[in-house]
Amino acid sequence: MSKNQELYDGIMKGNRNKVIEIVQKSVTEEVNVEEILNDSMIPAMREMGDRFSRNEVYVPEMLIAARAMQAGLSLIEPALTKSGHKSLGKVCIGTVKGDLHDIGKNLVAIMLKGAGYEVDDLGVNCDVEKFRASVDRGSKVILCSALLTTTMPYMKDVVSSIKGSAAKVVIGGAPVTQDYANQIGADGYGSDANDAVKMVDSLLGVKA
Amino acid sequence: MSVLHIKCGNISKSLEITGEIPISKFLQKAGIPLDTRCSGNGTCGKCEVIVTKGSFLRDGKLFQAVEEKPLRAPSCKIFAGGDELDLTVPSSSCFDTGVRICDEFMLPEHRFAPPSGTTTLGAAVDIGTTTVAIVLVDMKTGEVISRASAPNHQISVADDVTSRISAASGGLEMLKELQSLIIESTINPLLHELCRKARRKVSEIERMTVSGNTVMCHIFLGLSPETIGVLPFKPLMNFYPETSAKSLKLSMSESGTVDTIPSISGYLGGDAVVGIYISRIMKSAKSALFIDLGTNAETVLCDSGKLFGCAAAAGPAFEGSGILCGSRAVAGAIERIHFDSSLDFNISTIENAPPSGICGSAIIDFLACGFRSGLINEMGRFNIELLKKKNRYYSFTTSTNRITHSCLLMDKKNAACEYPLMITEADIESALKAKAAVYAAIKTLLSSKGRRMEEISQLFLAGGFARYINIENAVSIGMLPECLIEKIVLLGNSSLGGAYLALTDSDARESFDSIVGKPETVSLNLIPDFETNFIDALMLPNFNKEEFPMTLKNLNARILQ
Ligand code: B12
Ligand code: FES
Repeated sequence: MSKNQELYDGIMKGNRNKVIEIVQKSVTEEVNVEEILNDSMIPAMREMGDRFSRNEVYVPEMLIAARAMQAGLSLIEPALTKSGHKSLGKVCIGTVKGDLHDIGKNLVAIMLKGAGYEVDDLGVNCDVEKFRASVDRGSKVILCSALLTTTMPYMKDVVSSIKGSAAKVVIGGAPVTQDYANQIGADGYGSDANDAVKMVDSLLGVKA
Repeated sequence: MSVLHIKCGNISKSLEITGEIPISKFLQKAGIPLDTRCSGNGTCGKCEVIVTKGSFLRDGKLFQAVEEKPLRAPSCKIFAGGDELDLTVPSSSCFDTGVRICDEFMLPEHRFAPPSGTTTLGAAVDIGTTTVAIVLVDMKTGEVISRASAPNHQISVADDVTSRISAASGGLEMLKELQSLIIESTINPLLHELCRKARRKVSEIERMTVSGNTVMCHIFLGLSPETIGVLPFKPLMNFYPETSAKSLKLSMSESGTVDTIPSISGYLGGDAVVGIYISRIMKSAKSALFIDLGTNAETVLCDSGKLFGCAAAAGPAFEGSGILCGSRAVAGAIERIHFDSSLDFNISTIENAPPSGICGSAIIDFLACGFRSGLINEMGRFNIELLKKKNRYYSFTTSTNRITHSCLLMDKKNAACEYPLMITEADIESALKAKAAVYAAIKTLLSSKGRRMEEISQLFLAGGFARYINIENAVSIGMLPECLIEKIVLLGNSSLGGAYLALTDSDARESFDSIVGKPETVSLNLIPDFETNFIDALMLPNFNKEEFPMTLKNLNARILQ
């Protein structure tokens, strides 16, 4: 199957209803959902990400597109698991203890899924144990998000508790900087959702 | 040990410093009103200094400045690297002491029956995160005899409430420093100024009443706000003990006393308590809404006599933070912009001073006019062709190698600063996030109680920002609901009004205590609708066009013309 232009445009324009309609139709007709994902949905999200990193698209458009992507993804996720879809690798993401801001984290998670990763979304307010348990479940990279200057320091605890294991820690969120990442010894930092994907790509040796 | 030579305006100072602590800390110690908006995170660039001689370390690298080749660097990220360091602190790196502060307030019916027996002088104080306003009151008559205001000097350490909490949590010494910045550097000089103006003596001030957000009140009284910064955001206390002026080192009578208005929760402070009282929302037959339009945008809904409160966390974009040429409301800040598709900007500045920056009210105007004229599309992106055609296009590459499109408002020649004044697409994004937070909070709070916007009988807006913005523009960018435009009432500085009532009206003061336990706190993050509403509201005016029929009708009419 080749690119479904309508679906591709639907995601780019954030037309949630259109995306749901097309994806639902494919699911009911038992079309190979992996093809829809790989040929139309992932390319649309990749293109959004690229435009984002060229400053051709800003957060509002990204969020609206991501919302449409998410709507489509949740429809095909069950079918994907059944078909034994192979991902680029497993990663986990969560906002750190005390932080309930998850809009940015959700965007990062969708971009990662869109890029082909299996994402263990740990939700908000995650303590060290939660992140560690996900590593035990096979996550190769831990992504921590913090939006508050008061919760950001908790990332240090995550980094030090993970030291010694093979998993890598990537941090991000509005108040977080590269400087801070260096300071606490995190393996990577991303300034935005697309950066996050690139960072994971490079840590896992995946070529985009 | 090295020696630091500082020049700032007409001040020059030298002091001994060590290499372990960033230069910004020494500048603050030397009394320079350095603007450290991101609390030394290295992200805001406000604390920039010009090193004219000597060497310094930045990110572990050694830099050498010579007179012919001075170097600019954020002072919070550099350390002494040699025996001597000469630097200049430009005025743009100092927080302006001339911020426009709203000290007007609207009061409901009240009577003069002071709770304290004082008959000399009283001072009513509003401690805001950014600004402090005080009125001096003749306690024989209740008359306001002088007014004064100033920036909260705690800004020199940290910009917003959360950063203030982080700073105050850095040990008892930091807490003491912040307390002394508010009392000794901000309030006491104001008390002297008030008395000078009224030809009275500070020793005559027997009573002080204080209103402010929970964090400000805690720090004022020397209480740690640490717990407000972390889940579940509980303050140390909601009701504050009466305190002696002497123990707080206030410039008042030796026997003076201080009464601090109680707080509802960590993010709904005494300023919200008095806002609820002054707006009389509990008396309204239907539903009414109170919003303090500031960085935290405290929002309270009264529905059939019950109160529900939340904080929208709009952020400091409208105070100019995170906006390239952003500025607080100081003299010279552009406060109004008007234009159409000819892009001939009609600009006015505060006090008509030469333009030096752009403040929040002008950013709202810019978005509104930009959207109306087709310069900005509904996603907040520029029509670059139009910008180019009108010679307003400007672009630059950021440190991360991205091109940022901008609209040139004024070139360097006409601006009173060293750079052209412009608004970038990234600035628009920051403003959209702030306005979306306000709108999403209103919508989510209402829908969580099964109410629609149309059912609100009155919308009360508190704070200086609300007082100075063009309300029609704030509606047309989708910050405030269109259907409520006729129902908006401006309260001015209701926090100061509340402090005045606490000083002069014992009935009002009693009501404040009884309001504290009433509001139910609504946690917006627990309501899934918030995210959807926030994303919808990031668009101009909104993803749900039907919520802004008039705005869009006017827009289409213009396009058809
Ligand atoms: C929406 C919002 C809320 C919502 C959150 C809803 C939700 N489900 O997330 C509500 C109203 C609940 C809320 C509550 C609070 N908030 Co709030 N909130 C905001 C707001 C308006 C927008 C944040 C946002 O979603 N941005 C959009 C997303 C897309 O951007 P982002 O998260 O930065 O993510 C991007 C990057 O950072 C990056 N990224 C994010 N995570 C990660 C992770 C990795 C690994 C990587 C690589 C990259 C990455 O990629 C994303 C896309 O590019 C900001 C102010 C503003 N104007 O920005 C305040 C703000 C963040 N909040 C603030 C505060 C103080 C609070 C409260 C403590 C108090 C209050 N005033 O209500 C509470 C605390 C709740 C808690 N415990 O977390 C402050 C923080 C100040 C500071 N110095 O820390 C801000 C800045 C506002 C302010 N008052 O100044 N808030
Ligand atoms: S860069 Fe923000 S305080 Fe130094």
